[in-house]
Amino acid sequence: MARIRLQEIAFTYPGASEPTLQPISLDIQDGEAFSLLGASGAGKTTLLNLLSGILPPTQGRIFFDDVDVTELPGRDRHLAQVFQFPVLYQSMSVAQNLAFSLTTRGSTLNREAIDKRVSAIAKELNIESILKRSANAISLFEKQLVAIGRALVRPDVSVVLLDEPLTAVEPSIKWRLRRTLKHVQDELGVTMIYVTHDQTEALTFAERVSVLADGQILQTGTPEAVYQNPAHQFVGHFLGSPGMNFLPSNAFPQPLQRSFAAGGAPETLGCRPVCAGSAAPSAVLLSGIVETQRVLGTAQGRVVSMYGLRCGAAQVFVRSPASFACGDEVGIALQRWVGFREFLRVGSNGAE
Amino acid sequence: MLNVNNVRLSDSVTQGFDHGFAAGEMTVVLGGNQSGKTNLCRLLAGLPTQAAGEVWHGEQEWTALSPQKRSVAVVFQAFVNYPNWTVAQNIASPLLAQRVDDHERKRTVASLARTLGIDGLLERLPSELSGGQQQRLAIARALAQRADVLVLDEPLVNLDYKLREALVLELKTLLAETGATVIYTSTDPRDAFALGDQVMLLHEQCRVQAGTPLALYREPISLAAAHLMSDPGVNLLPGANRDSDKGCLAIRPEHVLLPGEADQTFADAKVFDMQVDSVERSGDETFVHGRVISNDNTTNEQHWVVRRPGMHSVSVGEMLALRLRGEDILNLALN
Repeated sequence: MARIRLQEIAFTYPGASEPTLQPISLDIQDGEAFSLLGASGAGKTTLLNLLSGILPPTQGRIFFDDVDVTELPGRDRHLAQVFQFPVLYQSMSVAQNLAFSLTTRGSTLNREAIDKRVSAIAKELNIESILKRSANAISLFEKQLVAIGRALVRPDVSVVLLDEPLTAVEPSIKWRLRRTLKHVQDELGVTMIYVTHDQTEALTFAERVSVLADGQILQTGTPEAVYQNPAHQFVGHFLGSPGMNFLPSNAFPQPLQRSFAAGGAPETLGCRPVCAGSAAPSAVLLSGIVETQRVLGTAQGRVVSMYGLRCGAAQVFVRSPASFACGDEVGIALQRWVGFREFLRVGSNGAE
Repeated sequence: MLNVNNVRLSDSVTQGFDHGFAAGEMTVVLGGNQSGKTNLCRLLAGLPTQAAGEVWHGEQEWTALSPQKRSVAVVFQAFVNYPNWTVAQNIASPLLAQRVDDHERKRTVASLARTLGIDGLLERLPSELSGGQQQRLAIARALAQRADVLVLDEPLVNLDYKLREALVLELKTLLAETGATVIYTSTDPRDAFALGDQVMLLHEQCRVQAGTPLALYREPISLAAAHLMSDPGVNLLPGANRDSDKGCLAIRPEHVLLPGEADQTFADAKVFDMQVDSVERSGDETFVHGRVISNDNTTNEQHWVVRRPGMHSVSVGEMLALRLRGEDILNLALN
């Protein structure tokens, strides 16, 4: 496994006027679970293609450990990839699928060593019981496990790239696959880069996340940091379901405005739907009119809803077990906020 | 009213079911992969399918009618548009077939394009649109048919998460305004709450339950029904009976409380000890996974997930005393 370093990597398609990727620097630790999060068109796939050697960067260097691999062809970088749909040899057994990459590429492993490696990986993924079955006679869940197994089986793999591996599966399978992935990542200390547009996937899988938009990394940090202290308004909007609420700071009462640091007041305050919903004596209050209601479930027998409120020009989402009707005026307590100016974070009232 | 009688969603199913989709309402059909959702859609639309059964639109029998003779529009999971027609021509295509006059056609195209937020793209080809825009176009074209029945088969599944979140909210209003009877399939219980006036649950090509989203959430009749309306699935109580006569006891992940959660005391609390295996934090919520062993000395161990709003600090390996409210325990049939 390897530490992956990107040094000022950028990419512009030949003939294009705008770069697809702005200069990006990243340092992914050996054995780290790392996630690239962004919408389609943000540059995630381009970044993956640069890593795997499918595209050459327009500028910058790529290092695997201390080796400069920028000019190295993809097949010599020892990457493994897992895709959205499991890619398997349908005519082979599960065991043959797992062993395949060990029997090619001038592999020096003998039969015994290959069998040992295959059974070790099968044990880790808990698929020992299906090793002899044909790859087209197993469930979608098992197929994706085998695809992950194929990526992990080679002892010389430097990094495993996972490209939306859970997008195509139903929710119940998603939970099991993600836990298995995490377990294998912990046990084997594999460097994994997980690419997704789904914030829940990214935040629950990764030790650190990079949020991409328009070919730029807006923020890199732990899931807690990017969620609680977004460096850019887009990050606050993109993480969370629904995302962060944004209100012009002059919508707030005077005492809050006076509390802003002398360095200049933020233009916009961001708060999470959960922070906004719960009342506390010390919290700042403003009010909004209920426009929409979506039921989330129940808590202690009471229906919990996500309410959409109109506060002047802004729409604010609030999670609450209280029962409101459309048109009701509701007070919102704001316990924790993050201040932004020109979309960038300039402060917050909570711990950084 | 759109009625289906004696429906068998695949060849392997022996027992048929009847169902009525109330006129002007939106029914979310919720089921996993291979649960028969697409077969049901195809049956309603009159497309070739393994599913068999009668379809009645009010007093009119549709069973033997071709898709063109039914007042039904379909949106599929994959974006289907006429590739060499512009956005405007695509939206207008059903109106041409219906011989709507020029003036009315232009007016409808403009209004639908505006509603779906693609009015700036009228002269483009589908290949020049993003995935989200292509699916909006497919929805606009389906709406242009002004059909009595609108069938949407996982229409947003191929879109980015954030885009899906925004479109689901828009669709709710948009589809309600059409007055059509809407059938919308999904695997995600959140869609049932966000969109459904009614929900139908499918499991292994059978209808397991139908009702309002809240009724199905509060009173699932079987384990399969409870799992379908829960993401992650429900937790089984350890040591509890689990035989086909008595069924089983279960609890929703969001109805289990972590130790020390404030102002969450209740009289009939049950306590279970769980050893934590892993913790997932999505920001909005914390999911704690672990193993629960019953106090009554049985060896029956269950894997549980606890789902709580907000960020909670819990460590792997920790032993937690979980509390749950007696009233939240579900008594479920096993089939």
